[in-house]
Amino acid sequence: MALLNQIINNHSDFLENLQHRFLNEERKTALQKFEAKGFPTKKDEEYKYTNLKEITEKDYNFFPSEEHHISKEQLDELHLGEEHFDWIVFINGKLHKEYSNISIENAEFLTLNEALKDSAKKETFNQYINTIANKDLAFTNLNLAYFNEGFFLKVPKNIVIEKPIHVFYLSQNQEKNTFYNARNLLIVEAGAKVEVIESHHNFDESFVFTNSVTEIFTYQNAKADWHKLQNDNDTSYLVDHTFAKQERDSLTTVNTFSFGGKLVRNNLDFIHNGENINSFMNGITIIAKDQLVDHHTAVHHNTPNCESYQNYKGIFKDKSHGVFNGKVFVNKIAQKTNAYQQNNNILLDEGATIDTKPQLEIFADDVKCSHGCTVGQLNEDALFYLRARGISKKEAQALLLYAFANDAMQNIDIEPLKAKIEKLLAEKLEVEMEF
Amino acid sequence: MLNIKNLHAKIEDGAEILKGINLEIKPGEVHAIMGPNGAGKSTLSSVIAGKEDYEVTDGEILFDGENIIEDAPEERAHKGIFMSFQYPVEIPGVSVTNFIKAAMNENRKANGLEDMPAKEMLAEIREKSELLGIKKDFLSRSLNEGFSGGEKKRNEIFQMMMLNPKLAILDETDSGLDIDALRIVADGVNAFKNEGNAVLLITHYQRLLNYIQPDFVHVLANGKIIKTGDKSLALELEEKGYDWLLQ
Repeated sequence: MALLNQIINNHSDFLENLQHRFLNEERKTALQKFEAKGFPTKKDEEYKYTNLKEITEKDYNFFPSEEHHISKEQLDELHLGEEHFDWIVFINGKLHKEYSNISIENAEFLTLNEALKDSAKKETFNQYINTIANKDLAFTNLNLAYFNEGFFLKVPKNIVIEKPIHVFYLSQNQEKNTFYNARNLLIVEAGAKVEVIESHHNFDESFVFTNSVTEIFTYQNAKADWHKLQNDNDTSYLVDHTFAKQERDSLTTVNTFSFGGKLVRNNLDFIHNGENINSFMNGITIIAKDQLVDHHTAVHHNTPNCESYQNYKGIFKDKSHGVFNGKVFVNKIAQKTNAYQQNNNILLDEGATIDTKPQLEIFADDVKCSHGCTVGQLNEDALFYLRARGISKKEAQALLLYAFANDAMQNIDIEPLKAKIEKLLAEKLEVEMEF
Repeated sequence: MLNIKNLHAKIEDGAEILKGINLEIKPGEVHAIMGPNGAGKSTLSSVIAGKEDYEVTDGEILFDGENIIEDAPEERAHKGIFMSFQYPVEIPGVSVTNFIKAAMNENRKANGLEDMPAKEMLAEIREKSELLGIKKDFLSRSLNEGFSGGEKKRNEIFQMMMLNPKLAILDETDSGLDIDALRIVADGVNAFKNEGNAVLLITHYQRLLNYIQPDFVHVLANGKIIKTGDKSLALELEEKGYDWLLQ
């Protein structure tokens, strides 16, 4: 366990390096908790289908070099259109304001590194950080012990942030494998509205392992949308934990679009803390070669009259491997819950696999909970229909797969994001076409 | 244009369905194939269009003198064969307009032509859709998704007119249509028809033939064409059924 030893041995150097004013004790405790159990293995029910060995057996550099050679052109390629977005660019673990465009007004925006150096921020910070993240998980503890960069965004009451905020975590010019721990906090106060897009990119041939934790707080009648655009290269690993806590009458969406990355594990927890809450989770996964993408979701229906919708589509080529585990917990007081869960998969090659498992634990008696999972191949009759119109087999397949994935895109209201997903879909299916 | 000689075909690993079909269609002609259920009518159209579920065990299909049996469905489409489906497939998220653009340009590409300029394409779409009484919002809807039976068939004819094939095979295009929709579809086919192309109608009922005048009517039963006549044969079939021919 190469990484495990490094984690234990590097911590005091890491803390010393940070020069932060607070949180050090909590970090040490978190490390101890992590150390007690170590990384989860395949014996752990939650990691039964996802072997982390290829991540944990490698050695990593914990202190990435700051210097980078990312050009303006390379950045432009990642942008979804400059004028319609704000963007926050972290490179090699540091915020780069010169590449960012932060026009957010009337909202409190801080980078974590700044915030933790300022004692005045301690109170605000402690009010939120690690309050909804599960404290018993290896990766959340590891993240608390080691997180270094990320952002804190608080949108005050009734403020609507018009431009979606695109957050980039970039890594470049690292000779050795590099380990990053990113942390995000999003607080959307009553009646406020915001949309965030998150992407991670490794530009090197050396490996990057990112352990990311995000906490989202959506207050009364507020709306938060978070889109994860996972399109990293073949030498990147991502383990993500996102926790969203919602108060009454609020609406929160987390969409996860997974095209790239060697191994991606997404963990998504929705916690309901009021009535009349709506939660949406959509996912499109298209992977190939020996990629693995694992979605673990959990919705905690703790209160009555709330709704949750999960719609995950997976397309698997070559020897790729998909995992879906969707948990829905309905507390005995959560009457009139409406929980919907759907996971549909298409396996394009014989070597591709999907492990899909819906898991519903319902303790209330007046609820509507539905779930379904399917695994199939493309419909031959549909394929023939398109080919008989002169569309080649490959393109006909792509059209049908687009149609299959399409309803998981329905609630994206950012057109350039939709266009980007369509483009990535075409790329992944190796066709040149617009849908 | 189309010359089918002694065509035998079976379902993959299954029973023989076509048992020696001979059929010649020349430019400018309209042919109708009628026959009882299970005669092999839809199999014949699928085999001409290249559906891979069927295996041709004997005979040949010549199109413009070239045997097309080994061609993929899209290659046959590129050569000018069009088939309108009895059950068109629903494709959510792909609009009628985008689909027809993709199909048009794929066919042009295969024939060594550049993509059709967007403006020209739109004009073409407008002209053809107006002719078929297709409303504008229909064109931005997802292909066949939630379409009524009549809308699906009208959309098939619209695609036929846009793609302008040499040979149009209309498989049970009249089924599920009310009389108004039937007339619109027939008007479309009549507008498409010219001296250089040909139409093959596959139908159960004579009523479509009141609107589209066939030059030849063939009766297909038990995998073979058992009788060929002119338009009056259809009327005779309407009156007497198929039994008298099968004895």
